[in-house]
Amino acid sequence: MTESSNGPGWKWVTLMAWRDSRRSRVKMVLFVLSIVFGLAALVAIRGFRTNVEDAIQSQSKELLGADVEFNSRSPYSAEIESYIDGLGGERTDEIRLATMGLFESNGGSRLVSMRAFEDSFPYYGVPETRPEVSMEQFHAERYVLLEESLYHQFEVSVGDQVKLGQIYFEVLGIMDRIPGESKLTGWVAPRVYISKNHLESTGLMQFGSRVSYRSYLKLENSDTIDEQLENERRFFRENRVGVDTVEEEQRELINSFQQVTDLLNLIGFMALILGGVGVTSAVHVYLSGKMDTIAILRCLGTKSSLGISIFLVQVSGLGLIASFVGSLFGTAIQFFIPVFVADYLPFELEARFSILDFGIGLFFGWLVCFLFTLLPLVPLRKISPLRVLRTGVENPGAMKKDPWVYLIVATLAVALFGFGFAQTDNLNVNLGFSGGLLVVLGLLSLIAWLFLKGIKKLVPKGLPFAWRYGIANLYRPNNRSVLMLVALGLGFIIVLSLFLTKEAILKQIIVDRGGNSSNMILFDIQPHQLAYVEAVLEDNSLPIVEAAPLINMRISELNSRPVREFMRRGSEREGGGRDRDQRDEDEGPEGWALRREYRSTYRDHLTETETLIEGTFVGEASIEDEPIPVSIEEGLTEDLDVSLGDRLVFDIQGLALEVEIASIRKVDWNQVRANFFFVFPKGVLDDAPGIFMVATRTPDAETTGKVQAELMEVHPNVSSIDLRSILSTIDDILGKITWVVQFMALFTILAGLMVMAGTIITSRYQRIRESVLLRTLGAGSKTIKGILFIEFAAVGFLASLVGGFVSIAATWSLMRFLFKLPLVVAWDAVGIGMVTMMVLTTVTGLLNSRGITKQPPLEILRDEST
Amino acid sequence: MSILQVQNVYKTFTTESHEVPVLQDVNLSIEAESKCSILGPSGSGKTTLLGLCAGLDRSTSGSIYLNDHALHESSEDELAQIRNLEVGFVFQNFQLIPSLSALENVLVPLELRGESSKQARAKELLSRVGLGDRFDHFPVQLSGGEQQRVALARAFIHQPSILFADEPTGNLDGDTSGLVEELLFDLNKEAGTTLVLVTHNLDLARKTDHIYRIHQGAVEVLEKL
Ligand SMILES: Nc1ncnc2c1ncn2[C@@H]1O[C@H](COP(=O)(O)OP(=O)(O)OP(=O)(O)O)[C@@H](O)[C@H]1O
Ligand SMILES: [Mg+2]
Repeated sequence: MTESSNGPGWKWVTLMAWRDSRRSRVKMVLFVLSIVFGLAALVAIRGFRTNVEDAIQSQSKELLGADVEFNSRSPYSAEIESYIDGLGGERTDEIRLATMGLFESNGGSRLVSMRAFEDSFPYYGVPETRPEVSMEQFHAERYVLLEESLYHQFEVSVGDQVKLGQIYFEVLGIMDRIPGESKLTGWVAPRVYISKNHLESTGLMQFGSRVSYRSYLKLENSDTIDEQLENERRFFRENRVGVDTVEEEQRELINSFQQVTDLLNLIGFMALILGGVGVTSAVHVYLSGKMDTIAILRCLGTKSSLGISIFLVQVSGLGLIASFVGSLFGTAIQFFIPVFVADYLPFELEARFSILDFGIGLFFGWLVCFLFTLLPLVPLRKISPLRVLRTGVENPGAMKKDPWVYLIVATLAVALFGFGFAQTDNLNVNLGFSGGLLVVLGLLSLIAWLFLKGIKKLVPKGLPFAWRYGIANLYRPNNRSVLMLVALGLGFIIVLSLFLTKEAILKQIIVDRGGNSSNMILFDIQPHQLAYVEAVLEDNSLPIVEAAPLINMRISELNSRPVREFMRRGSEREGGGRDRDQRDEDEGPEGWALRREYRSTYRDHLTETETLIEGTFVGEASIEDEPIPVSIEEGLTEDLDVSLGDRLVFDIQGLALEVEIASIRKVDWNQVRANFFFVFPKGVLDDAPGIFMVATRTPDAETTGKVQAELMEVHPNVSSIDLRSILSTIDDILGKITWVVQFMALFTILAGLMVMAGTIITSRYQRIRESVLLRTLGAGSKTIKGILFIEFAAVGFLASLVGGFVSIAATWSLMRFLFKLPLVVAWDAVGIGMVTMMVLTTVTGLLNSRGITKQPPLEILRDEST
Repeated sequence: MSILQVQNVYKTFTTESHEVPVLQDVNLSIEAESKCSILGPSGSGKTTLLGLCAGLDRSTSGSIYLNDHALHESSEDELAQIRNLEVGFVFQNFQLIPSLSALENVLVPLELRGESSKQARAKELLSRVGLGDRFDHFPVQLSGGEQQRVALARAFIHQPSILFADEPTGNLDGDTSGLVEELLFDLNKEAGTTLVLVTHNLDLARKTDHIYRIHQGAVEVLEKL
């Protein structure tokens, strides 16, 4: 007898692991594939984020085009002018204003945002145009560069004429990117660029235009500029001047990208955890088939740790394969992302392969997969060798009481949390996400479980055999129906609830109430132009739903305290300005509500969109009756922290006017018409310098275009917006945003389908045995296929039921608490989604059960002993 | 010299509802290189006793010495080591590892000792049991009798000092049983191993040197049948 003290080592364990895997390698790889999609998503997002941050770092000055930028809604005060001059360096100015553009190409017109800049801008970087044009040429003649969307909308080509104000400009091309602008901001009014040399001749720089002023500075030494400006914050705030530096711009961009990628990360994590649970479940079933092997090995003299080691080696090998595939896949996706998002980015994005990121993905993926597989493996160390004598005796399945299991779950949590932290760099965000994730998964499991239980009770007794049998399969032990439902449901829910929310917002944010309600607004009408505008409408037999005078004013005192005093306090309190929640809890008015310019009107009645909720609406008053009784919008009372009887002093173009809040109105903002925060009584502001807006209703897009063109001819400063184009732009924007998220959610769906495939494959043997038995008992293969079909269709049905239910609930809470709108369900989308889900599920199920009916029964029956 | 000594062994199974006393004060001593069989009606505790003797389970009280190893005082890992060094098994339901080929199944006990270069011996043994052409076949590809012959080869490969067989032919038909029995006794004789055989088959029992019977939880010696 040879005594060997050390026994077999890792070499033997590895050999055994390899041998043991031989007959089921493909199957085993399938188990762990469900983790691939989540990992790929995370690796891709991580890579994307690195690339974006690199791009922002390396192109930082080109982002702004200068070292500092100042902006203001009104011309700078003398103090500001002298401050800017004091900074030294070079300076270039830009004017932005909203105006109508008339496109000769097809005669259409639309509100555009015009930017007139000087030839010295930008100091850093160059504008990118299509076709490439020289900026010298652009500034020399009356040329215009357009945002791409205008090209499509008005079928523009190079050389066409566009009328802006009183003069025509020749289209030089498309402005793809210009320093200082993000690509996403031009959607309300698409952008057009002209040289500032020709601004004067447009005649648009007159009273009533929405003009903003911008100055860009190139400094000799820009190192200390941030510090310098920081000390002057209150000075700028009081002068209502905005300041932006390269550093700030960079920080903001990174911040907003982090918010987007945080959300995407969350979805990636969901997919990963889902896949992980799928792996645990599949491996659990796989290993329970290996219990005899472990028992035999123990019987032959293997130490318990050694027996487990064999499968440990197997599952860690599998984890390596899965994480390799996932990281590779993620890296590949990362190279495609720039193709999709390049259009929205204010800088150039280049995907780069980072071996470090790949390595991190590989390690993390392996770790997570390994830990998830360890969960079902660890209890197997307790398998008694006695099993070989008496099968079925002593099942060590009890994962619940095993301290090792808790330890692994804890490690898993730490690993996930740690990686999440590395991805987001923000402890709170990460904590919130982790917590939210657990709550979501827990809740979803509970709902799935309830549905499963509920349906069981509802199944009628008299169903045909295949139906009863197929449905009963959902409830067999080890079938993991809840897991399948959660896995399949999660991705479905993300996609569907996003879509439903988008639809619900679209249907309500601006609603065409039909009848006499307006769907087009004409604004910036000078008092002397009003008659002409009304005449044009009459000629086209369009109604004047409302004609309202607008008077610009700012608040200067609130209950006898100067606004500056509030703002001083506010600036001390606000800090970085991002902790909105904290601010909300504080007493006192909000900064923006004090700072903003109010466009108020006066009239002697309430309109259809307004309801009086407190006080009395005063229709007429006289300038002598100070304080003037005014009506305030409900929401603003909170933001200004005022109530009935409170007093304010308005600065109306230099004139101080004291008012008292006499009534509070509720306003339906979701309509195309002029809505106001403050309504004055008639007889007070009638002589104040104001402009007018007119609301009308057009029957079709053609009439809208015709009216716009006619007005454009005579009074180019009069602008208009109409419901139809607003809706289409909002649809476009929301569509683009939701698309990115839905793309990520696709990974969750794929992970879900993989989990289902894994579950089906692991129960494949059981299904084969059953089908053989049924065939022995005389069932035809048609019946067996029928049973399988019913089972998977039932899973799909339940998953889509749970998914549909949760999606609607999620949409409801989003609408209720985030958007504060009632829920409108797009039932057609729900229906289509549910059917798609069912088909996908059934197909996945049937694909993974192929060949079940073809197994030779004899081999199965003889295999009884194992 | 006795290779296996069972002294005052009790075994009681405790279930949720009640206690099942199976073995009560079992005493047994088996001589090295002898052959013995254990009889008894179904449920009398034969398998239980075998499990205790082989170190697969622990007695409620009493002591068991296997080739001077005190099983009742050994840890799980020590028991595993003892099994690997001293014990061979043959089971009613064969218990081959389904994912390993016939040859690999036979090799496992040696590999557990860290002896991996004994392929020739394994092949020789397999040929000896008539499976010289089935080395690469997996258990599902073998008939019951063939599987049991692989199990026999596995039981002898590491030259154990004692072999436990729990109804080795219980799952086999008459002819196949005969072949397996013959092989079992032949291999046992060649290796000079102690054999402990549990069976219902009286003819088989008669071929052994001693016959024991489990009766009311205790072991009695049957001199003549
Ligand atoms: N884990 C257990 N829990 C409770 N009772 C058990 C357990 N294992 C065995 N028993 C009981 O112990 C008794 C003896 O069982 P054992 O398997 O040793 O009998 P056996 O003599 O081998 O029978 P057979 O000839 O049918 O194989 C039986 O009554 C059985 O029910
Ligand atoms: Mg028995």
